[in-house]
Amino acid sequence: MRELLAFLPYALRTALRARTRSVLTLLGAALAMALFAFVRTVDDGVQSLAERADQPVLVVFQDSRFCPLTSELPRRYERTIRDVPGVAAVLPTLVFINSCRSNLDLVTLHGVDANDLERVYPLQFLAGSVADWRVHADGALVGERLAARRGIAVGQRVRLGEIDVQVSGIVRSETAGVANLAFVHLDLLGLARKRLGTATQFLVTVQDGADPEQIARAIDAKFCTDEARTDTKGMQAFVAAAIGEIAQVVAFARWLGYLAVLVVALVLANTVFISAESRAAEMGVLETIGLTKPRLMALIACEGIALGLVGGALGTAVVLAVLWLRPVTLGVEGYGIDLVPGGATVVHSLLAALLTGALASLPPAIAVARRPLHLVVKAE
Amino acid sequence: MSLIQVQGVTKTFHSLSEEVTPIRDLDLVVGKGEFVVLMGPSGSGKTTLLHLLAGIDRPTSGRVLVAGEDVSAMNASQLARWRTRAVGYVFQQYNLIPVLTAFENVEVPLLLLRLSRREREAKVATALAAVGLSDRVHHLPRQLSGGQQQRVAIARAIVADPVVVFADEPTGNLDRTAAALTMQLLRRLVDEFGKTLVMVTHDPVAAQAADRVVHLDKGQIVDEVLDA
Repeated sequence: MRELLAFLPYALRTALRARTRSVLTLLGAALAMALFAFVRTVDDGVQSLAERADQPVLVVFQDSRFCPLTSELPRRYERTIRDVPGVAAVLPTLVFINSCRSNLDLVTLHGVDANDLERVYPLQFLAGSVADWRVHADGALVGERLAARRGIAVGQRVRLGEIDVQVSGIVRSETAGVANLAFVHLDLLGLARKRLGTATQFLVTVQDGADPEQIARAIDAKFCTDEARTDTKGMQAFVAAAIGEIAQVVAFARWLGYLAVLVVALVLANTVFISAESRAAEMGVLETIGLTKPRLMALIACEGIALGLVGGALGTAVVLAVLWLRPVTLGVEGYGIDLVPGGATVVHSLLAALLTGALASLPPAIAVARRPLHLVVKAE
Repeated sequence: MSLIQVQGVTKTFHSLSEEVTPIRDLDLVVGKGEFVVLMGPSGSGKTTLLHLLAGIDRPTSGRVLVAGEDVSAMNASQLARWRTRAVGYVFQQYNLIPVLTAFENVEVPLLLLRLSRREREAKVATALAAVGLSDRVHHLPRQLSGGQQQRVAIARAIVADPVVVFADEPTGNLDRTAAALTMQLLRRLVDEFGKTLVMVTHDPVAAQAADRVVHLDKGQIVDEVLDA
């Protein structure tokens, strides 16, 4: 190991010897690893949204409707739901979104009753206060991610989802979707969207010890013959259904990410192979002075790993920088999938680059090791 | 006193279509501090013999003893360790590592030994001074002439203070002046530093520097000339 470390400067200088070839390889590796890091980021975003949806909250939605714009339940359902045994609190919510389809500038407004909001959503105020919101009929509490994307600050008047609002607070919550939505007063949104007296959904919290599934069935049974039948799910199942299609696309994209890593491996293997072949005589010298074949292989692996790691770091850094400079949220059916590369993405990308570099170095290293020394020296 | 003993050595190479025996039942003794040149026509087996002596290849049968050690019985890893401490090798094409300076090229064999940085620096400085290149320490190979590159290669061969130095056509790529300087330098290794030197060459002028010239043909010694 000590000897190998002593040879490391040589290996690194060798990796950059054919500069054009090395730079092209690095760029190829960086591009492919950027794709890998981006796909991982999207994947993490989907996972994170699904995890945050793991809340003890039921969502009562109109049956056979999927987009929030098409679910229309009478407000009077609130009283009936409240009377179901085991229900702790009910939050009628009118939802407005600027598009049901997948988009990159999602705006979601949740019209809610000011008195019930915090019973369902535990909120942390990053700026402003709930008191200020309560006294402003056109007040809005904006999720931190939406505020960052749109550059929104407390006290501003902004136009969100075709209505003008006064920003009363910037909020953070562990609950799925809150970071990318704005809460406004229920009546304000009902008036603006000409949907007074209706709600898109009811969020229901249950009492300790109560069985949520039993309560969900009881709620749906209450309205099975009413003007609008309901479909009640746990928050996690509801979010999973909403983002189901995009989750499938992401699962497919995951394979594209793996394919990108494979491309990196092939590019690196090719470069290291050419490099090792062109230095056959040099390898012969190193072996003649006493470098064993395993050490020779390790030296070649160092080149591949160095190229892979630098390329991987470059690609990952590009993804980090782009998403940091321009935060992106992929919106789908009112839920925002935040593309925020985390530490795990960075570690995974660098590990993938490291492993790819090592694996890519194997074929050229084996080829060099299999060559008898006397033939290499004779051919010099 | 003999340093190298070659006892009944045969080397056979097998290929798909034929079997070649470049060295056939050969015996040779090289004394300590002796300068021996191996000469002969192409295919006579001189380079193969040099490889067998230097532990680059192993004989099919027979024994090669260097300073009492049976080189032919060593496995690959033992041979590698033995070459590090006992062998210096000079190639026809110099084979310096292009990205390393003259100093770093000479330092390479020392990286395999347990030496401190200061010890390595002292040994490299001594070796480069011995070949007259103390003023070219930080030059890359491409900044040196052919003769200078070969002198760096000789410095690399002697820096670890090997028991024996092997040289394969060391003047083959040099002009007459540089070749003469190189041969003077190799002669000095024997006379001043007491090294044992075995060299392969086609050049009769270069061979004149040797204590003994061994002529090979078809894998066997056909003639020996003392004080060529």
